[in-house]
Order: sequence, then structure tokens, then C-alpha cells
Amino acid sequence: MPDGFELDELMCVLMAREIHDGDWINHGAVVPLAGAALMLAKHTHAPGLEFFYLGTEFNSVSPAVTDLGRLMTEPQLACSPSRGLMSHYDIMSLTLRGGADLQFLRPVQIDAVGNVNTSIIGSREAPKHRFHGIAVADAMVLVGRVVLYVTEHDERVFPRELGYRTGTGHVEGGAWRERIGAPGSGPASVITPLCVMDFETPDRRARLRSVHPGVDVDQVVAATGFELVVPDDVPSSDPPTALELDVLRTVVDPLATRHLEFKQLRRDAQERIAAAEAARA
Amino acid sequence: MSGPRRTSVLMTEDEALDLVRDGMTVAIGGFNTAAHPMMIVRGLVRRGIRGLRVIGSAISGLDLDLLIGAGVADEVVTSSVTGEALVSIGPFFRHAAESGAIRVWECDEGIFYAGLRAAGQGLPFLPWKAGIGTSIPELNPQLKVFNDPFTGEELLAVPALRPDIAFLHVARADRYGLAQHEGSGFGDRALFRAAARTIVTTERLVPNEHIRADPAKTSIPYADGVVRAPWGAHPFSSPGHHLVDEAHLNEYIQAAEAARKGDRSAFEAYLERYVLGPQSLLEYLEVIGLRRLHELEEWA
Repeated sequence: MPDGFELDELMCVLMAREIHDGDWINHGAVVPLAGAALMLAKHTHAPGLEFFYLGTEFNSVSPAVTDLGRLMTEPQLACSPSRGLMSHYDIMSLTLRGGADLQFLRPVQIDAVGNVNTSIIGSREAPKHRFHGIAVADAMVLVGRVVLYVTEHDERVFPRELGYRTGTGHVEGGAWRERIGAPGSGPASVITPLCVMDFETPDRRARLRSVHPGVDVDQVVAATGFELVVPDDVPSSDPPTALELDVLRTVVDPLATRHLEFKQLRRDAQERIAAAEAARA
Repeated sequence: MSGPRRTSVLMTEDEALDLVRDGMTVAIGGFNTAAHPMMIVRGLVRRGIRGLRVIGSAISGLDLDLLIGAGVADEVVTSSVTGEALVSIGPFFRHAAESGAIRVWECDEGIFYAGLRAAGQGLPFLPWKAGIGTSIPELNPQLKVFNDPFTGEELLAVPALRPDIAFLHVARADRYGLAQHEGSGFGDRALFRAAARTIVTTERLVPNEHIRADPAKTSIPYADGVVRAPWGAHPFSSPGHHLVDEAHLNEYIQAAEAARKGDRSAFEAYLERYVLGPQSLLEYLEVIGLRRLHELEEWA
């Protein structure tokens, strides 16, 4: 990646920019790239953001610690200081009532209208690949805006047809969500290592919004299994500002815990986090 | 949950394990990397219990993975089996699901809680609103699409999830079965409400006066059994008492990953050393050793 920033930093910044000031977001500890985006937004353009933190030990509202790595290695900080404990069950209930403004989700597969698969590929009885599970993908139908992201971009991730549909995007395309009275507007964008897609087309099919610096449009089209809507002019993704990079690197995620979400960076990140824990012990 | 009483329900580790029969539906509490009742989990493996339908916590940890790897579980009900930052999906869970060796009752946290809540209220099912438009009912045929009798709106029916017995690890309890959590313990409360019987293993056994001194903290009013179990959640954390033993979990993960790839020798050695060899919690803690336990005891 040119210009003094890394791909994970670019993706994190692009995800952060999807957040609006005042959003209520459900967030799980296990997805630190999304966590870093959330914290970055809170400490730049969205100070009024509040979030539910599904920690490994405590479920709470807007823990005050700004450094994700510390939240990960000192789980009690998710409890105190925070706005208060909130049960997992209550947050699911609130979400069911349409109370969540934005949700980040990293599915296994995404199709052309933003439907997702998070569970299995192959038969139900003996699947070829078993993944994490529904997670909260089924709540996609109820969440205000869903920002999908993936850390690999190929035909397996973006197939013509999903193994199973465990979360609804725009279903068959068009106005499905409006027809069933879904409270949210569904998938808003998809952030990938190559590009940003959105669904700003009449039939809600994925459209190429921007390509990352150094990536060309043909490369994205070739790596995408379904047919992507490609406008005549595709701009380059806006690079991170100096402020965004500084806040991300020094305040929000100095341990780069977000690397846990990238296959090639995961092992190093685990070792770095373990070393940070050992240094404090 | 079976109602108030004022008699001692103290029991031993073995008496608690005696309650479990092959083929039962057993809930294992905790959350993620915290407070799983591991003394019981190891005991179930040691006794060679088979055919359990295991209802995990909303997000299960490697406690379920061990039950799968040791052949105790036939079916698991949980949104995921994960080791968080250490391993995103339990090695045995993944392998057994892919080979068809276990059935996975596919759900997410919301569906999970809806099923427990139905059981807790004595209902056959509860409606669930998310998941409409998905193929989740194909993944889990026990979830049925139906129409709201008032408006016609499509909803999912989630059948009651009824554990025959729930095992939970708590921070403190008295001899009468009044138990308190440190930290949230919200998922454990849902399991308690749904289960026919609940046995708590407790970090500290305290006099009834301690419970009365802070009654708002009582999270499990009247468990059916209480087993004293300091360090009973190890290698997971016990909120308010000790941290998670990541080195131990990594040892497990490496052994389990090797087994998933075909070499069970490290896992068999793990089982022998930590699960089958020690015949009680105390013998297990002797294997872990005072030095390790001492290191985990304080927030660094």
C-alpha cells in the first residue's frame, strides 16, 4: 500500500467513516477491526456514538477505556468504568425493537444484493466447512444500517449463490425490505481489501463505489463471483487523514489488535497481545 | 428452578455428577472465556458420560469443545463455540460438525434466549422476529415460520429449550442454594430459569448472613444443589476471583488442533494429565500447581 499507511488502516478508517455521530452500535469483542473503527469514529467525527460492548466477561454500555488492546487484555475494564452493565438478552431485545442504528458484520459469503452466509457451506448433516454460526446475522433485517466487511476478496467470498442465507440483505433485490416493513435500510456498504461497494442502485444490486489506491477496476471485477455494477467513473477510496492515522495508531489500537481479523497477520497479533499481557503481570 | 426452601442443599462433586445420565439435556453455564463449571465438565468426561444434548452458554467457550472432543456430546445448542482471540472456532466443534459426528442446533444468541425464555415460562415456544427472509429454518428445521394470528406478519417459532439440569459456576453461595455472581452472569440466570434443576459450583461457600447482607446481588435464588469449588472454573476466569489461564488454553488448543488434523496423541496426553488422571477438583489443582494459580489471582 502506498502513501505511508497499511491496508488494515485504510479499511479501518473507511469503516469508521460509515458511522454517524449519535449512532447506537452493538459491538462484540471478537471483531477488533470493527472495534477499532468504532473507537476511531468516537474519537474523531462521532463523539456522540454509544455502544453495547459484548466483552468476554462483562456486557456493558460504552466502556470508557479508549485502547482496544487494554479492553482485550484487562476484561474488567469493560465493566468499570462504563455507563453500566447491560445483559446480552436485553441488547437482543432492543435490537429486535429496531433500536440498533448500525452493525458491522464480517460474513463468510456475501451475494450481489447483500444477503450473507455465516454458518456452513455444504450439507446440513456433514458440511464441507463449518464456520462461526449465525452470530447476529439474522438481526440484519432489523438493524438501521449494516456495514459488511471482509478481509479477503475472491469468488468464494462473493459467489453467485450462497450456501445458506443466514442474514438478509435486500433478499431478491428491489424493495423487499420496504414490503415486509423491516425497520432498517439493510446493507449500506461492503468494505473489502480491494474496494468499497454499496447498494445505491434501483434494484439494490452491489455497485462499485471506490477502489483502493493501487487497485484497478478489472482486478475487482475478476475477483468478484457475482456481476458487480460498475459506474463509468470509479473514484479511488479516500485515504486516511493524518489525524485518523494518529488516533488509530496511538489512542485507539496501539497494539494493532485489529490484525486478529486478517489471516496473515493473526499469529503475530496474538503473540503481541500475549507479550503485552506478560509485561504487565 | 424449583422454588424456595430452607434446607441445606450442599453436595459433593461426585453427588453432583451422579445426577447426570447418558442422553440427558445438560446446560453448561458461563460466558465466552469466563466462569464455565469446569470441575463438572471434566467430571462428565472422566465418568464416560455419553449422548448428551449440551446447551452451552449463549457464546460457548472451549468447555463445549472439550465435551465434543471427549465424545460426551451428541448435539450442541449454542450460537458458537469459540476461544475468542486465541482461536475463533473450537477445533473439535468444527471437526465434529464437518464430519457429522455431532448435530448442531443452529441458532444465534437471540434464538437461544427465546428458547430458554419459553422454557422458563412453561411455554411450548416463543416467537422470534429476526431471521425472516433467511434460510435459517433449513439449517435448523426445529425453527418454524408461522404467521402472527393478529396481523399475519411472518415470524419464527423457537421451541422451548429445557435443560434437565444446569451447571453454573458462581462467585459465592450459601448452603441453602442462594447464589451470587460477580460480573454480569446474565446468561446463567436464563439457564437457571429454564432448567428443571440447577446445581451451582461456587468459588466461595459463605454463611447465609453474607447473602442477606447484600441480597440485591443474589442472581440464583435457590439452586437445587451447591458444591464448594474454589478454582472450579479454571482454566477459564472466575470474575472477581481470578483471570483466565491463557497458557493452559493455548496448550489445549494446540492439542485439539493437532487432533483435528489427525494426530490425537497430544490430546490424549492432555486428557490423561488434566481430565482422566485427577479424580477430583483438588487433585486437578495439584496438577496445575500453586505457582500457576498464584499468578492468576490478581488483576495485573
